[in-house]
Amino acid sequence: MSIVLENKEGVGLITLSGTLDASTAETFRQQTGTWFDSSPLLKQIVVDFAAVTFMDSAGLGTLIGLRKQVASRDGDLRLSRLRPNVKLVLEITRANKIFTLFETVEEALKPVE
Amino acid sequence: MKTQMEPTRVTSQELLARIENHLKYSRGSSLSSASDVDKLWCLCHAVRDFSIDRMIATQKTYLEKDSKCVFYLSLEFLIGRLLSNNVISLGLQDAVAKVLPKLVPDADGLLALKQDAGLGNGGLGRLAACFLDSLATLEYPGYGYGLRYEHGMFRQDFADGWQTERPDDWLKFGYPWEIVRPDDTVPVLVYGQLEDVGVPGAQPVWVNWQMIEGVPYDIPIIGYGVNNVNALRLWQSRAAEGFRLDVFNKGDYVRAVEEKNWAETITKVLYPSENSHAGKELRLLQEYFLVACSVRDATRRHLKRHKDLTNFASKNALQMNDTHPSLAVAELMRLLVDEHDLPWEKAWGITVQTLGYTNHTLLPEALERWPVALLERVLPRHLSIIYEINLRFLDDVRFLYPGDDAKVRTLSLIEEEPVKQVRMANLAIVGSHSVNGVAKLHSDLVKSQLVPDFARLWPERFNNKTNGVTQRRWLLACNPDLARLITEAIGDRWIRDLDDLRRLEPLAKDTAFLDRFRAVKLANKQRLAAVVLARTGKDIRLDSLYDVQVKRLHEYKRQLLNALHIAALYRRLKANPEMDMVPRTFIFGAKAAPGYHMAKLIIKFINSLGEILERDPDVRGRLDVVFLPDYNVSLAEVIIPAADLSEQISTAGKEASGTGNMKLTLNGALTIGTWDGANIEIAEAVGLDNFFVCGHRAEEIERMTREHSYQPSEWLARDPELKGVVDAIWRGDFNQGEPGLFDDIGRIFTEWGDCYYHCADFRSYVEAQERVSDLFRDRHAWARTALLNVARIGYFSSDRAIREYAEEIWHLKPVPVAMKSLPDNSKT
Repeated sequence: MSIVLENKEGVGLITLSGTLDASTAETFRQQTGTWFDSSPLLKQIVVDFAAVTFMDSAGLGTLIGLRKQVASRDGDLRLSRLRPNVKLVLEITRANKIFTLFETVEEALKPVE
Repeated sequence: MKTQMEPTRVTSQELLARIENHLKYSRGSSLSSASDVDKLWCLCHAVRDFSIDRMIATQKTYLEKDSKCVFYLSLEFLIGRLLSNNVISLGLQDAVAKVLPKLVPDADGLLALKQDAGLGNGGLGRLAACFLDSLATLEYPGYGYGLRYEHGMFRQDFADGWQTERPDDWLKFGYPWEIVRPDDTVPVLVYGQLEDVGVPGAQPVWVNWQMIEGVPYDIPIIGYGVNNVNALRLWQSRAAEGFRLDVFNKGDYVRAVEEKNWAETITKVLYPSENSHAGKELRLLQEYFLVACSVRDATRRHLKRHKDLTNFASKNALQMNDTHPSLAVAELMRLLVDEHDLPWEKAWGITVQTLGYTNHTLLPEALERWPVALLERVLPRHLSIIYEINLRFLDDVRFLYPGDDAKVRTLSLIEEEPVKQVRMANLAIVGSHSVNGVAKLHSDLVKSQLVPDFARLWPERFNNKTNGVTQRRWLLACNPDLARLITEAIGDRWIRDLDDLRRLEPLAKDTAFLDRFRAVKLANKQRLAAVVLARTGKDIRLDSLYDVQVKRLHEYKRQLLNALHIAALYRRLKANPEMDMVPRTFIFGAKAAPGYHMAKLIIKFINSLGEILERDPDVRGRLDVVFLPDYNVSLAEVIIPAADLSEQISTAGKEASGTGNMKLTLNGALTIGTWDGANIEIAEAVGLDNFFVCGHRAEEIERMTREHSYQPSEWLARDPELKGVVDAIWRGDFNQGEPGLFDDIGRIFTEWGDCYYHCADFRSYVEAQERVSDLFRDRHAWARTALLNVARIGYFSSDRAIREYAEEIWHLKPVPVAMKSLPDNSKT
């Protein structure tokens, strides 16, 4: 899996590709955690899922963990461009209710009103 | 545009060319070099090809017309072999008959290589298969959902008279009828916990689950004489992508593969019993896997035509074949509420209106209960939904019955003691708009004994749908000589309208016709005798009465009562070797659940009896016992046409319906039967003068049980012949030098209370058997009675049963499929 971390005018953008699962979740957790801790001004994070082909419960667990980190700054974790199979996993688990989902990265990057 | 199927105009040359095409391009072989298995596989594949255009047209029609569909959920589909039925349904008999000799010199040998798809145990699974045939033939949009078990029902052998089991590798050479549909693969989540992630207003999230995938395989179900080709969709489990990749990455390759294999074990093996899988986690996973895959598939189909699921119930019906798929209640609720954001009340209305539940048994051990602790571990979200359903339901109960705590305890979905468990039958009843039994008596007992409080609460929900069998398989295909004789006499309308057999009645007075009827039976007995000789080495008499009991081995079905009668006849003959006795061949076919000690002991007992009879010159040829190993659908198709007498002697009140009774009657056997299950309706249909009734009635058995008034010792004391048989068992007369071998059978009568009432029914049964023998002595009168049975059995077609389900439960209408022309694939 590859992880690209960017700061887009005050909004964190995480671009993933590959699978977010038991084999990659720890890497994701470490990299995003370190980055988030070292960027104290970040409150809004967007994860671009367009190139994520599969997510399992370990992957979901790391997303929930990241969401808690963001929430501790009263921030918002947004997921964009989910493939149907990944979106379905969120729906089955009801995790779609704890994240905000967007069809495009641009929409997701818009500041919270 | 044709809605009635024209005969498929396929010449034998075209069929042969298609077979050769498959041999070359599917098997990399040729007619001259291919093995027999390859040839058979390619013959099946070629036949399947001729159904494909119709299958595509059927799906297109249902979709375009937005037809309401029924989805029949069953853990078992005992479809047996499909070649003969499919050939008949497609009208390919002539072409196949001409092609077979070109494939191999021994056509029968080739066809014998066919493997049964043993995806079921007995009645419940075979019923599901008959229903699919009727759905397609009656042009109803209907699909079966089941599991693609890698190992179906075990193969049975006998070693020294004992049942031994080995795996059934029915997929060893592939399965030519199925079409894999990887695009329709669905994810299924199991295990994990619900976690409150601290988001205000959000429900707990399901975390730490494992994902498996369901891959569908479709088997075409070809309607007879119509263009409709429905499908049986069987789900196979496999590990999802990324399954335990963390373990792979840590270098523990073997453990990772083991865990991957675990996902695949879900559809590895069919549980070898219709009853009682208490606490078996894998069984729970199987049941949920079927439900999860099927409910998602049904909703996916719906969403192709509709923007949401609010009208799901008006376009779809889901029928639960017994409680095994009853998690569908919780799964459909989960899907509607969690995934589609419907309010609980709206979702509940859709769920109840969509689901129907068929009860198949009154046996307490067969009423599924799943421990709460197990459900919480395997399906945490579903357990929370079941709790919510129960909470709301019991609120209603308390409102209706204020202060009646006993009522609340009885109706609750949760059994509190001794172990907290979910009552799956209660869940199915609460979550369905229809609850049906499978014979009139059984449906009455469901209401009066099994769940009386539910029946009082919702009387409109309870109804009866007496089972039926498809005459396309159980007469037309399995008994071609009788089918031909009937068609010559009254035409072929009976194939689609079994009531038309009524027109045979006047022929019961036609001596010439009865002679032909008897000749057909004799030919079928010859066919069976050849199979018996090949499989057991026994040469059985064609002029003997073929007394047949074929069904699962269970104490309530009372194969042991039959054996007691055999032992009594044996003792009579030993006491008086010169006595006049109708020669009988007792033919058994039955598998016992591998862990069912008494059932296996009864098999051994019957086999021992058979050996003793065979060795004894006083009785040899006058009484024979044949226990054919590995009873399955294909063997039934040979035994049933040959039977003279059908043994249906379950303890009254125990057999839900039975369908073997219908098949045997349809093939010209007379019935000796208790007043139980569908026997009652059969007896009423054919006339009590044409049916040998025996034994106590259900209400008498129930009263003796309730009052604890049944003492087998009293019945033994009153009946010297019965006592003589039981004493002989204790004495070891049938043990063949193994002291104590059958003591447990003796204990049934003298120590364990005979809870299936063998002693109480013995004399009545023996007397009925004497009436059987008297009638059999007059072969003409026997044939006349048998023909009347055939003529009057029309009600017991699965076509009638399915029409009742469709009209009264599913509210389904036939959807004829028009074809612009004959299938293109009729040309190679």
